Amino acid sequence: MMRTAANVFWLCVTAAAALPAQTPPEARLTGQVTARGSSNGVALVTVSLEGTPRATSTDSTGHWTLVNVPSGSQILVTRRLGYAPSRTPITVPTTGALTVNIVLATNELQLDRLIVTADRSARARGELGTASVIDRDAIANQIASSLQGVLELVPGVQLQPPGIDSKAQFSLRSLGTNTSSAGFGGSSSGDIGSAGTLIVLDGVPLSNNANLQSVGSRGETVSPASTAGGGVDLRRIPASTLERVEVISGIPSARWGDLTQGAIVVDTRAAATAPELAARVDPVTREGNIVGGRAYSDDHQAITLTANLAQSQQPVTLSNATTLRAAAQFAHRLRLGLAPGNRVGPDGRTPLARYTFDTRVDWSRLKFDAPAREDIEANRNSFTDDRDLRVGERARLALGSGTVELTAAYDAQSQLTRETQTRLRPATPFTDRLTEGRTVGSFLDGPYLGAYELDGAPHLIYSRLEWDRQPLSQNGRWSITETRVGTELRREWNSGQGYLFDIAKPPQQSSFNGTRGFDRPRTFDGIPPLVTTGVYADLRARVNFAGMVAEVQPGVRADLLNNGDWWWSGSRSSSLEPRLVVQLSPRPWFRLRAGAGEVGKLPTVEQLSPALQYFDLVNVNRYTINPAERLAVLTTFIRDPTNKDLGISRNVKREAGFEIDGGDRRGAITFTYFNDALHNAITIRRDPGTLQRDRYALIDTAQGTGHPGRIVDPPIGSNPVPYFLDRYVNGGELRDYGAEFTVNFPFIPRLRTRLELSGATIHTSFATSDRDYGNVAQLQTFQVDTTIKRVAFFDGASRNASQSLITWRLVHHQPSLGLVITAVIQQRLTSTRATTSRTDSLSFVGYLTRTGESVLVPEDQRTLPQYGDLRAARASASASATTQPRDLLMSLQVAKSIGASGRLSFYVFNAFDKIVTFGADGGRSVLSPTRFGAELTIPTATFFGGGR
Amino acid sequence: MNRTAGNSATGRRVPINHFCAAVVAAIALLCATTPLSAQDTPPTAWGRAYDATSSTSSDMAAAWLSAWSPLRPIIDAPRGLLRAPLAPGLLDAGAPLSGAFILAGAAGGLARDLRHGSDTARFSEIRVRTANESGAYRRPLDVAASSVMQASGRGYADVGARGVAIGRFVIDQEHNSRSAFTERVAPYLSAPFVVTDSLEPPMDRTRARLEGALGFQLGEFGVGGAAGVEVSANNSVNVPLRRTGRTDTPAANLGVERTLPWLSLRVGAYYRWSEPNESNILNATPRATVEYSLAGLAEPFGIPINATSGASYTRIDRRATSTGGSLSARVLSADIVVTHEAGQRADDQTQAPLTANRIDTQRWRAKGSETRLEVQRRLVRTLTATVVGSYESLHGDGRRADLNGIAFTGANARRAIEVDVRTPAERAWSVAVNGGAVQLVDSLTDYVAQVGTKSDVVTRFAAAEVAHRFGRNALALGVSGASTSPRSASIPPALSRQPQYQRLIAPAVAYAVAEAGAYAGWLTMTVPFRTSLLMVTARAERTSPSSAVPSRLQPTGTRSAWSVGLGIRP
Repeated sequence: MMRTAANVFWLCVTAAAALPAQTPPEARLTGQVTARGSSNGVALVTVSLEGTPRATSTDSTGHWTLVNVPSGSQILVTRRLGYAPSRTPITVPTTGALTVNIVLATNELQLDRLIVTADRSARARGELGTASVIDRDAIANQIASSLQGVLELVPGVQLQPPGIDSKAQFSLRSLGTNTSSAGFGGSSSGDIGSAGTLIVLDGVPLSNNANLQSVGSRGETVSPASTAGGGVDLRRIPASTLERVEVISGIPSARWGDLTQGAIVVDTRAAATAPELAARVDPVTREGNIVGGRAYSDDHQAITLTANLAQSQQPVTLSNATTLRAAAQFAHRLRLGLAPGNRVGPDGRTPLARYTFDTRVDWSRLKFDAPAREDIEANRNSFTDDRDLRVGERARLALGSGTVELTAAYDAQSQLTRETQTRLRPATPFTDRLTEGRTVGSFLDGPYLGAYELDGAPHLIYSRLEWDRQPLSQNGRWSITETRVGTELRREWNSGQGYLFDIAKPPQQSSFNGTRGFDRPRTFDGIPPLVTTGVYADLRARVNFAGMVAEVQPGVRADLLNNGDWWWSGSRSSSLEPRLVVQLSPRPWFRLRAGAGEVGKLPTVEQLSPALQYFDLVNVNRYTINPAERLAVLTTFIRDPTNKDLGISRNVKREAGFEIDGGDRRGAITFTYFNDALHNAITIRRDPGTLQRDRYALIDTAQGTGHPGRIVDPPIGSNPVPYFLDRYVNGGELRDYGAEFTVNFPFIPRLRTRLELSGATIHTSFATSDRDYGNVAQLQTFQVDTTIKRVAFFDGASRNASQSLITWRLVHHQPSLGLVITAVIQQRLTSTRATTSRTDSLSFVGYLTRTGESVLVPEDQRTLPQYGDLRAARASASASATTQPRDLLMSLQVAKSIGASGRLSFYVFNAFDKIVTFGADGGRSVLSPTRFGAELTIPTATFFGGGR
Repeated sequence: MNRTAGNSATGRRVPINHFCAAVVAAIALLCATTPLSAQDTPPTAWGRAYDATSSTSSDMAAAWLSAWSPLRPIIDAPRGLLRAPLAPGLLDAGAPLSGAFILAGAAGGLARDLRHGSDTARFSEIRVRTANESGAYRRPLDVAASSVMQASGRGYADVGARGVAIGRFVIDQEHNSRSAFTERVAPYLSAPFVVTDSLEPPMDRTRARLEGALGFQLGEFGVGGAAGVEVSANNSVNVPLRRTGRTDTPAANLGVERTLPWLSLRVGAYYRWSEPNESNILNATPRATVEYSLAGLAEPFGIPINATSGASYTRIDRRATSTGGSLSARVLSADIVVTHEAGQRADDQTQAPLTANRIDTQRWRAKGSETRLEVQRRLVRTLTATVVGSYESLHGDGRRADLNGIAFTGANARRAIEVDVRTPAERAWSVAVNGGAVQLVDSLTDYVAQVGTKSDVVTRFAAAEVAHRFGRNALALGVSGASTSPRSASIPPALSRQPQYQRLIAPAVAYAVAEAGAYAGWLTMTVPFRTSLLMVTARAERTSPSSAVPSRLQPTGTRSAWSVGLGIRP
């Protein structure tokens, strides 16, 4: 597949270069911008074509003209301070002129054409692949606490109640399957999918690669707020700070790396913005937000400040747990000079300056606190506190028809997790030894307070240098509309006190058993960093032939996982990722698109440098009534699970689809089929081994002496004890395929109503090449019970999930009233989770002996009498398949303009709150509970003197 | 919009006006002498309690302003606490409008009732309110003490050249420092199934109600639709036991109306639908409790709910529909509106451990009808009289989950008449007086417990308000009162019954047939603020029984409430 993609890539580049030059047809756009309720034109309105460098300003009568406009579906963007920005979808003819008159309003709810859903026909900037664009109007109309809620506008995304009460990791085009791949923990398909969905905030990728707040694989209580092991927690990004979200679910351009499932490119609000205060309240969440921006020096400088505070109290727990989010952002933009040719900047709106300096400082804090409730359970508490400070600078220099952009960012986080809970253990031999060797231990017996603390500080340094050329003049039958070359450098590491606990009071929930391999406390300071280098190049070319327009975007990206602490060190793993997207437009309203390519995902710091594993084998276990006469002797073995061969996961992505866009009057249809195959996802493999346990003779063990007795050296013998070392490997196979579609029905002018239908069907299959050793409890028994001579193992099971969702979105808009009613119905057509494997008594493929020997048993020999002890149903893989019944969920929202630019919104999530019974036994389907509340946005320009 | 102003009387019409006044007065007197009664929240002929929640959260606006609500109960008889009537609303409501939409929510009449292009701004307002209520004179499943913070608003607007839209929202947060022996939000409905327990923990409740209607006048035809949803979430606080619950009530109403060329006659038809549901989870860990599932008048069994038993889950799914017709005419300068609707209701309650697979269902099925009449007439030159009468009846039967066949039957009938007479509110001095009576006839026969109740109770009520304007400032003061007394009552002797009946059922039965009185006083003040009008309201209320009947275990003591509100009108 990779070779095919590479061949197609070079073929397209060659073909594009070989095509003869010819003057292309061009269209001309004209129109007038007026204010609502007036026929007077509005001067100095920036009118631009989204996703292109074309822009102009209105004259004193409000008239404007754009020339050389590409045909097809386009979005016209208008912006002027004091008015609500507007986006107008238009279909540009191949030749001739099109007149578009635009009415501006001070409140976006009063705009004649309000887009409050994700726009599937729009293009992500610099991307030809399938994408959905969510602009400010749609974000403002979406009741959401964070980016997670905004993404519900993307086809196939399950609706969730708005709030910050649970972690929000997002995965594009992938589902979570039943369980994790390994019995001792490890990544599930959901983790891999969310970790592989790239989040880019203001040009800088966010990363969870250095998050070491990971516990629980060996029995600790896991804080519900912990987000290690998956993607970025989107609760960090308040929805109210967002200006625009581009969801690239298809083949991303070569610009983006460290992903498998697509990219979400987020722009925050950073411009002269009239100050506004917003507050939202529902029974669980309280949220307040303030944003304001001011322009200086004739718009050459702009400063924007945003602050957000949200608190969520979860009523369903007895602990009165609260989640608090605080976020603030400072944005400064300095523009010097003016680039030639009326070009617009990357935001698609403001004129491009010769020099632009974009500075962002983001601070956020996410705190989860479940304090002890003494009347319920003494001393049980849980606490997580994540703080993040990011400083980013984007310096842009306009050179001719191109720009050179340097991005540099530093991200410092502080992550603290604490858990305390009462533990109750039977008498258990115990040692707190930190080195290998034999030691006289003690006994854990009875209740005690088990506590641990994870104190880490992930850091990220990121830089990108990119040259981007977008020539305005496109003379000829074919033209290269954009060329990009860039390089990325990234360094991620973690420091801090690390994983802390009192070894004498292990925090694990289950019984303490030294053969499982427990972590000891470790500091994060010495863990090597994750250092990567990326280089990429791509171009977009446009060809006109036989009345059709073809666009092609080939690109290639090379990612390098460095072997040392800095970029000049050697290579540990690398990947070459060719990508290609082709689009053919036989008519301005009809587009065919297909793409294929490879993307790669880096391993995390935790996966590259896992904690050492400690195995404490019990040599002597003499437990007496008199504590003074007890004797425990243990030998500690330390094993390093680091996998030197661990490298980049690579995902082969393919998609094809079409778009029919007839504009408001005729509606639009989009359809995309996708097929992703991630061949070497990082999972945990259990490597079996054997430790020798010495047996000793005891002397002086008479009862009543008050002494524990002594062991006699040398040992009288030894026996092997099997153990399993959990090791991260590139052993997972994640396959996602399905289809997405949207249908925008024609706008009904008389009813001022628009109906949109979107949906997706997704199938996910997750499997590992690892052996499955079956039930964990059974395996532990095998480790310590010397009478069990062998244990069966099986081929890895395949865990599957499928889901089909259809979302109906009805938007009724009354511009004169400033009223928007949005009703959303999401139908769940199918939802299944199942494990596919043999479960019969002959499904074992071999056995593991106590000496660590793996023996395969051919299928035709498994019925022989000597394998009778291995013939049993495969318990761990027979996880019951779950099928959710068909269901629907309705949400309702009413937004009304108040005052100049304020709005009052009410929402009810899951308004019907239906309960669905299914099956013969009357099982009940549980949907997310009803959530309702109100949101008020108040313009404060009166108090602060406006936005400039 | 001021329809009465548009129909101002002339000298020639005075004799007719006198005649009509006599007719209206005669109707009022005739109805008043009818053995009337009722115990509702608050006593009015404009329909059942439109907020089926605890009374502290009930809106303070005049009753007629919300009678159109699609969320108004269908074929149900919620039995609220005894209340004094609401204010006639000289400053914040005005004289009742007339029309099928105003009277019964017949959506086809919306565009006619709220005439296009008229001055509807006077009905638009946003209000915040705080209220408090406590006292011993209550039933076992009523919240003992509560306080609420509430924001509400309503708006009217023209839509295009032929349409009218109306909307209303209420959102409030209520804290019950001591709640009731149930987490059910509205425990006293027609259906006799209620799950209770043995604790009254402090609880918080948040509620939102959103409703709106849109109507168009297309030539002779009027079409319209109304929809609303009310949702609430409640949970116990600061107690080692968790009650969590939520309610969800979606409702819709569609209607059509046609104007005929005689007597301004309008005929219409409408359809109402509502599917309220409620989910409650009782998680008694670590504090234990005992759950009692009330079914009719039988002694309930106690089910221990503790850490061993796990959480208990109760779910109530209700579905109600009705079909109605309306008739409006203008006869002898009087606007007359009649509506009638008939419908049915199905309530299912399931109760089981949260993890149970098998679910048993208790069912209540009822049918009934509702007839309403409104007559409005200008009297002499300055008075507007409005008479509203209503008759609602339903009968139903209940089936227990543990038995086959009908376990009990119930019937409710409610007759009400209300007269409102007022002077124009625009004058320096204005006065409003209203009054009437409500009769409630209830019966319930429990075939399992082999007992029944029959009661016939009358509630008489009256309210008076006087307002004075000082330029754009205005002040209104008012008082209202209601007294209830049984005409007949046959209820089981409480002292011979078993303990849980005595604790949970008997006081509620005794409350329904008690002699009691409720009195309220209020003040409303409007102050201009820029181009808007600020409105301050304050109200105090007290309810107490007139006689004590210990043998019935009738609740004693008093119950008082107060509220203060601040509103703004464009």
